[in-house]
Amino acid sequence: MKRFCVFLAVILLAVSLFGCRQESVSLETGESVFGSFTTTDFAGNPFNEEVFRAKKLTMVNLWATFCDPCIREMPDLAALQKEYEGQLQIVGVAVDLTDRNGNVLPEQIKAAESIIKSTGADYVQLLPSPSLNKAYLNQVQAVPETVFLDENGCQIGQSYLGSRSKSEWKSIIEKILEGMQ
Amino acid sequence: MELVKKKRSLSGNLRLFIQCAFAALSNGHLIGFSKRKIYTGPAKTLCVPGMNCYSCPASLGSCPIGSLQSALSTRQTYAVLYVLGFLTAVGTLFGRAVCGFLCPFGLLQDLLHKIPFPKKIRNLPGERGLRTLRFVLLALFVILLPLMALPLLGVRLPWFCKYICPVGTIEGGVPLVFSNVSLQSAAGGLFVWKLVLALTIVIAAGVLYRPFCRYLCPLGALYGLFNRFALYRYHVDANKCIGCGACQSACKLDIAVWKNPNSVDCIRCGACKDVCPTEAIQQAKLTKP
Repeated sequence: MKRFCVFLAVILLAVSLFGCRQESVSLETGESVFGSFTTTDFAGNPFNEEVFRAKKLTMVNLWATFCDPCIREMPDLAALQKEYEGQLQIVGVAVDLTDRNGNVLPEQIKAAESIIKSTGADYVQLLPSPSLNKAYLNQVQAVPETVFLDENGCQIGQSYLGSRSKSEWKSIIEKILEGMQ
Repeated sequence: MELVKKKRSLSGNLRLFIQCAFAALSNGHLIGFSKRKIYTGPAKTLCVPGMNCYSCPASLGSCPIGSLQSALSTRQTYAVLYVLGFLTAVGTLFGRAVCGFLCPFGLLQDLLHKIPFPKKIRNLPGERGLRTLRFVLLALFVILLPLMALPLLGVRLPWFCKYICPVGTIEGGVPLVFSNVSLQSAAGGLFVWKLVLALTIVIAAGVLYRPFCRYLCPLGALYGLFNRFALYRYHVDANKCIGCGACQSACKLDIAVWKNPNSVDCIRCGACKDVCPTEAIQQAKLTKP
């Protein structure tokens, strides 16, 4: 009995130690985060990985209709988009608009549209699609998740989990733009 | 005397085996630790009967309490009915036997209590009051706040998961935050509070039997209400009981089993049954009252 408990404790300890190693963060040069994908925006206009070429820096903000912190920061993101019009484009993707098989859910679309309207987050908003889900969205663990990409769709710096204030985002954006000079 | 001792250790070991087997089953996705990601596949639509965080990297099923809060706060009617139906079905079958046999966090506390400490406490001062806390948490943090916070405060969140649950902190919060740099920058004061609470429970569990189950578990509170009527319940044969109180002494939750064999506090560990000199405490037969 005692030996069994000790054995169990050792196993639990090993598992927890094994699970606590630091993750290596994907940095500046790497392959493209989203790879090649096709999708549309809410108006049905087609989009693919070329969307990242539009500006030198793209801020992809993954959000969800159930996520209040995501929704609370969206007006700030809209303001930041206007402020950094020339250098930055913000691309929003609501990750909870499809079912498990990748089929779009109409009620979710309506919910997302209403949120976009009320927050004024009228920057590029893409729908999830099977290729986008496969490329990245199916692995999203938490929202909001924000990643910064260059024109080739390659990640710059770390991914940012959780919402932030406008001033926090501003200093992050400034720092990245500075690093890109 | 030898036969009684053997029976005691056999039933105790059987319960431990079932606890470990079920914990391994419900948390079998161990690769989640090395991948630092939680499992999001089809099995996650199933609720496990005990307290087990959805966000544990190894978890294969959903926590019923977490699911209930999430479904209530986002007004998913079918999901609410599914979870309530599941909880009712499990409650009427097993009552708090889930706590004693199928809950991984119960297992953790059982194991922590086996660690030898110079002094073990049986009750805290104010024990009776403290034991009502879990009902308050169930009513307020699991049901009312998720339900009413949207119209009243404009927020939708799982209040118990976010502000209290130490199971989530230990199984989900700690492994994910400690292995994910992006999450570390998001962790702040709330994470510190959750850590302090979780550590308090873990340390307390070494000294006091099952502090979370006694004082804080909303799921145990709910299942406990079924204890009197569940298919799995105890019965004290009045003809055999000699009122010796051995059952209460053996009960780590200090329940007067001979007076109250189906207390809302009872997690069905069976220690009372094993120690009763006249075998007056038995599992109730299905057809008898």
